[in-house]
Amino acid sequence: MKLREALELIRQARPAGAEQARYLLGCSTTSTHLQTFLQAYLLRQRPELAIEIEAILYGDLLGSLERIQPQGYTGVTVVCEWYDLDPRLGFRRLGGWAPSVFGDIIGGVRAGLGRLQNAIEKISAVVPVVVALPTLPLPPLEISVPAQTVGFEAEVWSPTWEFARWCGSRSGVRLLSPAELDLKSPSSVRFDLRTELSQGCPYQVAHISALAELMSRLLAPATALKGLITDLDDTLWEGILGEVGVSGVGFTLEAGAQIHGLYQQFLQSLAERGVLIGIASKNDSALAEQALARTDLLVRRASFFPAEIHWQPKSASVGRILKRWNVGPEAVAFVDDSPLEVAEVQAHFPTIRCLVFPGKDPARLLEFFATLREWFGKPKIRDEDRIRARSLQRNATMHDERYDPALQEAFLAGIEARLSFQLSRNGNDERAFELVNKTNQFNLNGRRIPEVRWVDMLAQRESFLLTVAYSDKFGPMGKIVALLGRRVGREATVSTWVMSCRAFSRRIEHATLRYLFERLEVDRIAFEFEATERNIPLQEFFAELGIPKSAPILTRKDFDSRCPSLPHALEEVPAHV
Amino acid sequence: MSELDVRLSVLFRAAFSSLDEQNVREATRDSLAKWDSIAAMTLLALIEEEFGEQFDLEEAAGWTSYAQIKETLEKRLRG
Repeated sequence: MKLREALELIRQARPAGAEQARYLLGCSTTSTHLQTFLQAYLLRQRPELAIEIEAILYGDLLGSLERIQPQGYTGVTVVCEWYDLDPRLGFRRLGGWAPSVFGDIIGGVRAGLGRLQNAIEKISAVVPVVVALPTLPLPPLEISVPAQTVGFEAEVWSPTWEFARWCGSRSGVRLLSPAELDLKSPSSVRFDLRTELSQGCPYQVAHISALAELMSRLLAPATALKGLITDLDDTLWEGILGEVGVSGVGFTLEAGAQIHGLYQQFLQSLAERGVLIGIASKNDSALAEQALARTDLLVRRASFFPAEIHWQPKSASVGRILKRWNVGPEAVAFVDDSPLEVAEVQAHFPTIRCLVFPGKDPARLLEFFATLREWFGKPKIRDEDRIRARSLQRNATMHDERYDPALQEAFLAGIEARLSFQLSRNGNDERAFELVNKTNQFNLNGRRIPEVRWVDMLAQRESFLLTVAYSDKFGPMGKIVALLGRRVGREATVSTWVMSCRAFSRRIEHATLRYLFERLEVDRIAFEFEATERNIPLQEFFAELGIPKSAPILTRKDFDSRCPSLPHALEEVPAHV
Repeated sequence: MSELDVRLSVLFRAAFSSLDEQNVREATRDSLAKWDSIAAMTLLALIEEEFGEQFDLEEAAGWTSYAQIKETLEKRLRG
């Protein structure tokens, strides 16, 4: 994006009543252009919001971060350059570059990083923090040929990488990738000594644009896709199975088919991060199963669910897979080597993300992986993500097992279901936030809550956030319910209530209401219900309990008389309401 | 309106939202309350980005009108 485009984008009218989102830009230099670009990129990603960027005091990154009250912000971004850690590592202060002061400078860097870490730790407990490691080159303290890194430079990077490691491990902190920044903004075109000395702005405009773009993607990340549907022949492996046979398909360097092996590794990595992987292949099913059972495959057979292997159109397979997964096409990617198959699927599912497998062109493979990383990347992988695929497979089995309704009571009683309730006002619960913003079916009203409102809502004294985690003898599901509400006197009002579709048919929704009645000691619960095209399961649940859609209120007496038996073992983590 | 006028007026209007097509070529530092040091910095960055030229910052700090900047650009682009 050019500066002119950024300014024009900012000038465009926002929707009336747009939600306000305030971000703090932690950059100690003259940051006018960085503010402009960051605002423009955030607006491009979140056009429904009114974005405001606030800058810190010039020349005082660490002090400003130590002093801020993060509650008012949607997110904070920190651009830490070397001179923020020790002014002698900049060009605007003359403090000596002689080897005799190196030790002192390294000490200054360590101390500065320590202060920075403490400040970020406090801020990230409240709002997400995006951190960029130094993006500008070190000044020429070392008199060595530029091609060589010598002692001081290596030493100054050492504590910085330690700090980076801490950032990477800390929930709520998103570290900007130096490698991605290198791709977008080569180091030779970042620094502008001319503007640094005259205006206090060390950055070239193109570098500012690249930096702002990456920061915006971490501050307001796109929702990650949930599933990938892959073809087999000439995609998962090289060769047409029906022609070359089970032993004839290739995916190794020796077979000249390394890119297929790399793709298999990538799929296994996605699967272990909780991405659903399905197969849509026109093939002989028995033969394909034999090939998928090959022990030298880099992706395990168990990582695929379901496998649609037959001669029907790919769109029909995709439709069935979406149904088994219980997700919409907009949350899924489809990969096939055939542009024709891709076009057929895209025609049936316009919102599905399609990619043609790069075939025999290794040069395009990195771009292919980069696209998939963009689609599936998440700021943090949680336990819930990792166990999602397994629990979906379990669900498929369970649905078959309990098909006879007469056996359902006995079945539910025998699965050793355990619910863990957590009642809080924790605005930093990323899993709850994610659930609210991606669940469609068991969803009270379909409302999405921007990050900016999430913290505000929970800051109110009468508000509460209830989350429920579930496990049974088949394994844990993690946190699968998020419910937001307010309690006033003997009545609670539920404004948001979502439950993962993986958790249907276990009476978790009933147990959630019982917990609310008992724990909050209320006589009535009112629901801010709105019917949507997709919240049919929620509507069916209301019908079961006799909650009228026109006046969605449930009394404790009615609930007690209509609630079926609840076989769950319950536990509670400490409440904060 | 010359091609240079078209390009330069777009940049002026990006830097100063209050300007419209009619009055952009009369713009001066005195007539525009928003032409402060920050706006001057933005205008310089816009011009450098659009024309791929770097200007001496002291010289750019002395820019006071659309007409003056246009004249500077004409000289620079003529080589």
